[in-house]
Amino acid sequence: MPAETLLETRGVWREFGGVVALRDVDVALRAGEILALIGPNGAGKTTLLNVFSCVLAPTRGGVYVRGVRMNGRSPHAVARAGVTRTFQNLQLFGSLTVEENVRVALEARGRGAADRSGVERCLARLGIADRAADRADELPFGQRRLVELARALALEPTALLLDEPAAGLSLLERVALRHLLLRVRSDGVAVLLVEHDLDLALGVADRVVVLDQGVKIADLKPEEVRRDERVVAAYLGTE
Amino acid sequence: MIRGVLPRRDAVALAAVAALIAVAPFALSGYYLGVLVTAGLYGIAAVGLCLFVGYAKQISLGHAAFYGLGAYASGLLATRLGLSPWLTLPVAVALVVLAAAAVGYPVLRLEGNYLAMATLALGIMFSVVLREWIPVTAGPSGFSGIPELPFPRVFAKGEANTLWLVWAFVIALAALALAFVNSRWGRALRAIGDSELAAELVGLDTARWKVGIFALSAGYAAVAGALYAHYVTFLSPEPFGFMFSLELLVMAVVGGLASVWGGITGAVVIVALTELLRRALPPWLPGSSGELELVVFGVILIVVLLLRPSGLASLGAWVIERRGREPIAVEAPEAGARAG
Repeated sequence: MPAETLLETRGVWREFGGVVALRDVDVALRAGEILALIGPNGAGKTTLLNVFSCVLAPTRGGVYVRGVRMNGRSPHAVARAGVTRTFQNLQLFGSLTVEENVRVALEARGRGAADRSGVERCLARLGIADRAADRADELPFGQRRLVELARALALEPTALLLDEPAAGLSLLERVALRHLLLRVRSDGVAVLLVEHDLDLALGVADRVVVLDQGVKIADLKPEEVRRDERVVAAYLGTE
Repeated sequence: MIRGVLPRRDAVALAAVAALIAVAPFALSGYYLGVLVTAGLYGIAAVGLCLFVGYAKQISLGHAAFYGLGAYASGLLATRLGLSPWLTLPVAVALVVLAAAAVGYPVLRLEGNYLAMATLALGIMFSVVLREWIPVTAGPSGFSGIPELPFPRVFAKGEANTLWLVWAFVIALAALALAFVNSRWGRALRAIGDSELAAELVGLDTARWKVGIFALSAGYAAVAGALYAHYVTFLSPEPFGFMFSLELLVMAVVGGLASVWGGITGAVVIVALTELLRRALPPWLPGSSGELELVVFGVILIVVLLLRPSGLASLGAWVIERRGREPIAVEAPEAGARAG
């Protein structure tokens, strides 16, 4: 029995003036999988994440969460439906402490301020429990990225959209991120991963979708990516 | 709600303010008590503005309208219908809160300069209505005979009684605001101020939150306005124009936008300075008008923004922190880089 489709675009177009950023894109994220979304700069990866999270409305086509059409809905409606995300350009609550960043997410889910252990668990999971009392905007870049991830995970999403989560992380932090992604998947959370670090993306993904100039050019298994002529021509290049 | 979310330091500071206000009538003349009454009234409105501008990081150039609407609503209800000011005050505040929510719903879809322009337009429209809707507002000449708030008078000096009353409101509303900003709602508000996008994606309906805080902020202005109406017992459109909106904003910025104490500090500093300049300037600059104060405010604003952008109220916390801080070793730059 195929896994349930959590998140889906059907025939999505997104245009900015005369520029077509997404062209008739169908992408589905299924329960319990890590789907890597790769492609060259300007391929439309972040635009697709914005459409999935209702930050941007598609010009044409539909966005669906568990089969429910979300066009015209706000990002908070998508979040309440169990889909959350992180950003390539960090979107932290900078004036709040690390603990408060996570607490806001828990409280937005209706979990009371008394849920202290929930906050501690989230921070410990990302290895930043010792920074709980620090202001988020005073942390080093890599740790700020982890705070954003901790906040997203605190929502206990069914689908997590990650935009370049490894950018700015040290090698050790990348290894930790890889383990975290695998653990998140084993917890039943589906992950849509936009990532330029191909080793990381292909190392954790169950499936890979490749975008080029707003068009989905391939939907492959990770081991097929480096052999696929279309992907090599559009993204990887030849030596 | 207050218990548990009002930090001890704030509770102590509020108690200290209450003690100072309690003894002020025994130490100050009626003139200075009047200055403190005015500072208290403006302080209430400035605290509300701090919630909206400092915490939610929105902008309003029209808060004088809510102050004026609170004043006129309570004043008119008490004068025309003969109702007790203790009844007209909450009714006026409720009306203003509802009006702000109704106006805020479309207006707060705007951001930045556009929101500033829209709130400026609201303020101007309110001024025009006050001047032109003569059958109700009595137009530019205003109306008098507004009853004072009835309460037990302790002192022979009228200003002393009003001082206690107004500052009881200041302290109560500041305590409420402090409890609010330290609660889960305050956290959500600060989160929205930091990143609306991220706040949406943790599930906060930011549009509703912004309308809510706009209405709450307007409610603070309305309380101050209604108290003002029953204090001066005469209303005309003149005090509720754009310049007063700007003055409130200056108070909030000078005191510290992202701080409840900033609103109160800014109001006390600006009102005191205004009075000082009114007395000090004429001998130096014969024929100088009140508008010269604006030049001085402008200079103060620039100096505060350059030297203490978090506002004068943060100086207290800074001093306490410095006194309480133990010497710490300077971390090598490499250590910070490795941590990243």
